[in-house]
Amino acid sequence: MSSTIWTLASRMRIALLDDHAVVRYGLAARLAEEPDLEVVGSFATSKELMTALRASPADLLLIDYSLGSNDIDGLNLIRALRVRFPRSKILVTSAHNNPATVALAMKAGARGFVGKSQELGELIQAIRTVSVGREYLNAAMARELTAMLASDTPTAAPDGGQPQARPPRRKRSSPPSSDSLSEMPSLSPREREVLRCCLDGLSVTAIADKFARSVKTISGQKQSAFRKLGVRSDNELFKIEYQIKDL
Amino acid sequence: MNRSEPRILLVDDSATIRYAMQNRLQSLGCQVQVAADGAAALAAIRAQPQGMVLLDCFLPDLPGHEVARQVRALEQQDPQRPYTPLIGISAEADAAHVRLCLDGGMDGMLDKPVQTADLRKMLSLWCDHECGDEGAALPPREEYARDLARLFLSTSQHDLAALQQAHRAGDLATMGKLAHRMKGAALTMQRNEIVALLECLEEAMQDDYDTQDAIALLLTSLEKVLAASATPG
Repeated sequence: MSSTIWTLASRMRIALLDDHAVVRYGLAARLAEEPDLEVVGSFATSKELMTALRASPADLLLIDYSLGSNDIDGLNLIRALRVRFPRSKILVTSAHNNPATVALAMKAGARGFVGKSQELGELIQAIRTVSVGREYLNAAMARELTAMLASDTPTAAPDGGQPQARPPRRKRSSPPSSDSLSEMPSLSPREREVLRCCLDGLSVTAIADKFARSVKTISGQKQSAFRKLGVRSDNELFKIEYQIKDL
Repeated sequence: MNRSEPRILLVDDSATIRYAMQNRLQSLGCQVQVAADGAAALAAIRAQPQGMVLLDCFLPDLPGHEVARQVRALEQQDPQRPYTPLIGISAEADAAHVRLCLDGGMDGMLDKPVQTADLRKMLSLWCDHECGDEGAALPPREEYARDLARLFLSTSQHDLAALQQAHRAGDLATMGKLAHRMKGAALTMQRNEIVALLECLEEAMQDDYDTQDAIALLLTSLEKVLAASATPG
């Protein structure tokens, strides 16, 4: 390579962040083989990384998007690193490489994204790309991102978009932790029973058979439960399933 | 320099959440200032630099991302002004909402109800503030817990009365704001039965179809649940 001598003069200083010791070790060993790259530190937690960066800056931060549960989530971390260490370029590795995750990571300030399943050779290519100030996404991911952003309405229907005039219900990322409507005073035990069966996929007739009650009775209980929950169809019932799963 | 005591601005329109979070942040070693709406938050940020701002995404006057946009504009006008880390707090942070907030200039998001562990992480990330392990492990003082429960009950009853009034007036926008505020407080108090009722209410209000009966029923249920919490035991 004709550029080897030139790049040796200014080796790229890389700091690694990954909560897995094996990954850190493997990455550091592989990167050490490249004459123009220098691993200046490898860290298990964002706190260690930030402490180290304050003492000695790095040109590139190679960070795992979903660190251990004790660490801050990837998005907040990327943003904090971007704002607090603006001279360090951020390259993200992650096992979760769906386009939405990648788009948010890039928006938060990452300069590139490499899936964990990708070859280490590609990682090195990504490092070199980001180090010269360009963004790096592999071709497949770039295509997916473009497609996603092109079709992007503010709330893309997660269920494939039913042709309904009403706005899609808001999707909740974190359902209320434990409880449910089991304590909801207005649902009778019979109504709960019927809803549970509906959620198991049983038809009104099947539920009537199961409990040896009339179809009319079951249908009435289902309708009144729906009214109390403010849902109009089985579809809508499934949409709030997590709220009522331990009915 | 008050490096050991980061200055945190907490913005939420629920008095219950302000009280609970202020207490928690103080126990983590922060100086806390509170604001109930976007205008008050902007005034506080203008008045002095904040180590970090925890910003509810649905404020009565301005959406959180709009507050963020104005803070960033302020910083651009005055390069001397230190960067203000803005962390959005939302119970409904889907990808589109997160993107909206980041576009507005927020730095990150936390789920509502905010966990103490997440607060520690944010304080470490943005303020270099490491809290000892004791703080959060301490059970809340009895007096504090009692005050908090009382505050939650009185503000919820107050909100519910306003909600019923808005329902009678057919004012869906006000109802939505009130339901959302009540839900935030109920989430913080881990009153999941109230959260569930409020979510049903929010969904019923989104319907184009006639859900008047369902709404009336849900309001009555809420009233009963709150009345039950008012009587001890």
